[in-house]
Amino acid sequence: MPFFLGHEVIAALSPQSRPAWRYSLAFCVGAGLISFWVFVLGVMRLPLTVMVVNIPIFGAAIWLFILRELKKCIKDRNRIQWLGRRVLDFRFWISISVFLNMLFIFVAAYAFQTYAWDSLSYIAFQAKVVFFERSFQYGHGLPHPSAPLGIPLFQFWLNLNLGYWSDYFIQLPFPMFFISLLAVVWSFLKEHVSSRAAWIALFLMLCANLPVYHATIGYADLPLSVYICSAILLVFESVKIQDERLLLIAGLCAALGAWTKLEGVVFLLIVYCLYVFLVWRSQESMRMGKFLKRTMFLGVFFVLVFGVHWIYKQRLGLLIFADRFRMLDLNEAVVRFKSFLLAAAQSLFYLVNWNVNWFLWIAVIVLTPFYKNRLSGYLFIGISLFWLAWSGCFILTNNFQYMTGVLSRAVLQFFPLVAMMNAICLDAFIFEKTGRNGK
Amino acid sequence: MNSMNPLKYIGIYCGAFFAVGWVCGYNPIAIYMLFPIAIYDPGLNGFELHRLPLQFELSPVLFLAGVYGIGLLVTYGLSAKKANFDFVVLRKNIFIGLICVGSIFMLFQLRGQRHFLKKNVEFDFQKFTIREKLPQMLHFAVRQANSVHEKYPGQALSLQLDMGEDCSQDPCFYVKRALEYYLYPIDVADIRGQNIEGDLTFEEDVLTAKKH
Repeated sequence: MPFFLGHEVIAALSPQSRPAWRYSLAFCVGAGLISFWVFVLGVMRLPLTVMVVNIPIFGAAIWLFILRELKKCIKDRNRIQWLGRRVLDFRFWISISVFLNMLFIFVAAYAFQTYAWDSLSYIAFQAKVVFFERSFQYGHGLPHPSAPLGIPLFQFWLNLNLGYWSDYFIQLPFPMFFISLLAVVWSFLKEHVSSRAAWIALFLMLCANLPVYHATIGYADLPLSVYICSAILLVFESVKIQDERLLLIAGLCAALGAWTKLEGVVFLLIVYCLYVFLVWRSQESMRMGKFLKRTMFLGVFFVLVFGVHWIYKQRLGLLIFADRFRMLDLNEAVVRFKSFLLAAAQSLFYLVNWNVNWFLWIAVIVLTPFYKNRLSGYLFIGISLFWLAWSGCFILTNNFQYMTGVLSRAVLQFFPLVAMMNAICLDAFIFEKTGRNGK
Repeated sequence: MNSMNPLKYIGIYCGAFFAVGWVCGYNPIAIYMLFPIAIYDPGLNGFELHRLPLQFELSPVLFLAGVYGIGLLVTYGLSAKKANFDFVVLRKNIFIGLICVGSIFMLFQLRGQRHFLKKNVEFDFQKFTIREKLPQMLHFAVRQANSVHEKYPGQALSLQLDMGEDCSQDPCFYVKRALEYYLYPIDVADIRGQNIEGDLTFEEDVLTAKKH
């Protein structure tokens, strides 16, 4: 159902969007919307039963499906090409590694009942409390009461349909989010760069240990990564092909990112900055009214989703941040900056988390004219903005004390952009004359 | 320009891998078995890197740096046909070398995943089932929660959890959180804010459990 709903919503918001976007984002958008729908029902104090929750969702999806011309569903020209079985073809080997990694992810995700720290302490715990109490009023007793409810309410919905609480079934979304992320990265690069770049990016994503492992545990960093990276890529495509309806989907993804983790709010600003940068670079003469309209497209879902959530939590007194965002003394900022640089270097060049991705990234920046490629330049600015946001967060606020512990997970949230930038530059500047598969 | 066959690159880097292993005193089979264990130890905030055992206690990163250095020298030497320095060829070999080392690392990552599943999951192919082997600490929490649920099935009680010591540090803190989660709807974390109906104590020592 999340897949069906997500697909229909994307198709309704942007009928001209590529089928690849619809299929790769369908699950994530559906999951986010379902959890928000459960939240709205809970806020309105309606009974959270299977019928009350599911019938409107299913009805909405069917309604959108009927509204859309059925022919468009069947006419999908971008069918997946079956791979050549040539042993020397690098795509053959990457396909095998995709298969083996997927096998690992599904077995590791579903063989274990939830055991990860954040999942036990608040993500799955919130879902379990809502499942048994059918109410949001018990958030006070849980750690991180201000955390958005995107993932917990989707886990609640899964078990609601199951009819009982399963500690295994709540792991279901995470491998699906990872598959969506791979599909987004692959299909975007295939469309905008080349087939070879898409496969290289797939390889670089899978060769890093941490994202693959995070697809098997119940943490929210990977889902946030899917939403935010999709929003950033959609903004690029929207400006490139001048389809402003795509900005609606980008805005929806960014809003669902903020609905997944609090960091998503700041990341929406990054998406905005990137949008402004693209408009400025495109030298398109845009009237103020048009610019404001597009800006509204990007922000309308955020205001709706996060605004409702924020106001509701504020009314219940659940916006408690436990001193995490207290500003620290500016006089010692230089010392903290040094610590941050050291921690960042240690985290990035830690081979077991990221494989050679960050080494490649440094080599790409130093040795290639990456700025000559519009997309890789755009991704570089995106990555730099993420670093700026996280460095500000760690250097200026009390989050500094958690820096060494959580920095790798912070990097995970924008890691797909790094793999993509590496793949684009390898494709454009290193293998440009020897490739057979480039578009 | 550089026109080396991809197979040559693979051969050179695999050769460099075993050559470095041999120089450091590891035979090819030993290094093949030891590497996945050294690099694949997942943690929630990142993976742990272990040193390779035997005489040198070498870091796998240093080992791979050696492989990269030798591989780069050999591939550059073979692909630069003229005696003078060719930056384009060197640049290409730098990137190809990184990808080759990344691929070798990925092979061990896949083996590490297999090792992880073998260690933590029980496969019964006859009954077509898979079950996790819970680590001791989590096993304690799940077992205790199940026994309490068996005694009070489906009852939304509010109990006081007595962990028997200062429980603000791991592993006790983790066990406490796990118990709060697994025991629910029996509320031991004061989620519902109701009157306490009894105490919950354990006969076993919580700290006999190790950290997961």
